[in-house]
Amino acid sequence: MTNRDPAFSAIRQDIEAVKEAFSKDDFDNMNIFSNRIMSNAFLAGNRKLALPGFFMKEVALQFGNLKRARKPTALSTAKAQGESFLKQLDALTMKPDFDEQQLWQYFKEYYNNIRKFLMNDMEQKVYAENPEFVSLTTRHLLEYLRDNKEVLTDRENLFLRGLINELSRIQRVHGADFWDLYAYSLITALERLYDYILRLSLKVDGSLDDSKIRKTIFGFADKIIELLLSQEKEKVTVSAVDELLFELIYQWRMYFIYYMEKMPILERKGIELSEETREALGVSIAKGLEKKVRRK
Amino acid sequence: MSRTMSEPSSVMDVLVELNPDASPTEISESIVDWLESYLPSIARSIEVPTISPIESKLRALLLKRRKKASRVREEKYWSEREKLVEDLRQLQIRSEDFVAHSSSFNGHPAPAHGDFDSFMFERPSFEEHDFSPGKLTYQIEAISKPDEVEVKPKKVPDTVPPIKKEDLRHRIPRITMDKNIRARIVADPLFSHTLRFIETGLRGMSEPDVQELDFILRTDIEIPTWKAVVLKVHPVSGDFDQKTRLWDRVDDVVRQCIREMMNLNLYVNKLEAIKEINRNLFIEMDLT
Repeated sequence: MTNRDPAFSAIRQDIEAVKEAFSKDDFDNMNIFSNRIMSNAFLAGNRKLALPGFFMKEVALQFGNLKRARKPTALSTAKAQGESFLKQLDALTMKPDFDEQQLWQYFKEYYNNIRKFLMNDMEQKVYAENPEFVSLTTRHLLEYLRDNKEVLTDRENLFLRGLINELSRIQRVHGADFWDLYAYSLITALERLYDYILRLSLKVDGSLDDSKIRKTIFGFADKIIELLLSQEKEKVTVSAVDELLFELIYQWRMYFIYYMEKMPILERKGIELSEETREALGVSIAKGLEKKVRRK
Repeated sequence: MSRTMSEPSSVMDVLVELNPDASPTEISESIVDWLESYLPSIARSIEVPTISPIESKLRALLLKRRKKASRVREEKYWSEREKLVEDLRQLQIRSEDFVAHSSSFNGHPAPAHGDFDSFMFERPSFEEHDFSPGKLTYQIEAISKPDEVEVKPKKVPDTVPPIKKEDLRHRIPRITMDKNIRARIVADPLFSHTLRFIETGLRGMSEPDVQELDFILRTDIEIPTWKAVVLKVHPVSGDFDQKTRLWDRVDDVVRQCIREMMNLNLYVNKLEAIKEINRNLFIEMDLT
């Protein structure tokens, strides 16, 4: 693929769209455009170009959360860091054969800057960098996945989300090195694919046919664990991580083409509230809150 | 005394009656599900009072003359009330944003994974659920009036009125930073941290009189190495005196943020550098 390739120029336009959405604080569309980069990369037959889309999606999700945060956040200051990363990424991907190692380097630097904005007041006051602890816990979490894969066949489980929650929490407050970010990224990509596989595995009667989970998800989980745990972490190469990451992203985007969002969803066996009940609860809560804030 | 459907306990009774086989967990889960999806509408229906900084200051001065026990009780009440007002206002603002950005929101729960070409985020921070009713309930329970006075309840509208965008526009000012400021944020971690504290403080002001705050890096033609950070305040309106008072309030917030930062152990070795940033930070008011 060359710079003049129509597919490459289309993906470059996707990147421009991401930058435009970011500049307008439209992180929802930024997320969509990032997904588009990943899909286009595979449709155009250049898997490598999915990588900027994957990172841009992370930025979109982080800033979306910052924008929606419960307490006031320094969004404008954080955006200076995000903007700098997007500029680096933009410049690097001007050529289709960009340096993947460099892109990870930029992402690592960006992550370790932006994570301070993702911490709450208390976390900012007390937590310091602790790379040894991050590595140790990441290793334990990967071992936990290796030893408890069966949980993934429980229709109610949120195991991969739970792992991502722990990884992101620890990395957010203590920082992250390449190996930690590899683990986080691979598990995140695995979880996106797993979401489709789990839904597809649900039978009409509510039971679960776990054969797809065992075949696809267990296989990927084993590859991730093998790659990250069977050698010293410094020896894990970007090319090996990317190869696995691209395969996960590819499958996830293909499942999106197959099923988009119209899939059987895991519905909680609950009780439907009547219109009257809903209205009554709403009025009751609003009344209670108004009473609390009314002047004496 | 008969209870009406608007009382939560009565709603629970009705639900139990209608679903005799349901476990308490199933009933509570269904209520929680509904609350999560409906809370933005509830938030928008609440009439949140404004807190006047002058009134707060006067009250604080008056309270100083009270006896300690009474003063502590009153201070606790007002501080908790102001926090709840602020939280509700933030919730309203975010509810507005939520509705504006959501293509599917109509009182039903948003899809859990909007990971696709849709308008929903897939991962709204697993640790902190922004619209969690649990958090709000906790706050409500934590607040008890020092002197229980029966207040005649105000009529809550039957239908939820849409919040007016113009009402929200000025509650949080627009904050801009010029390209030199943005470059310095990236290049200078301490400057980035300082601005993060200041911006968070400014956004927390919920100052309805401020329209826009611009951070600008200014240099002197005669001394090119001297660089000052200027925070330019653009008020919504007001006469000279009002603008001057607003100027003081913004200045207070900014300097207080820097003082709080300096009190953190994290920056104990960087106090001089922070003081330097503070010395070169100027606040200007647009008095036109």
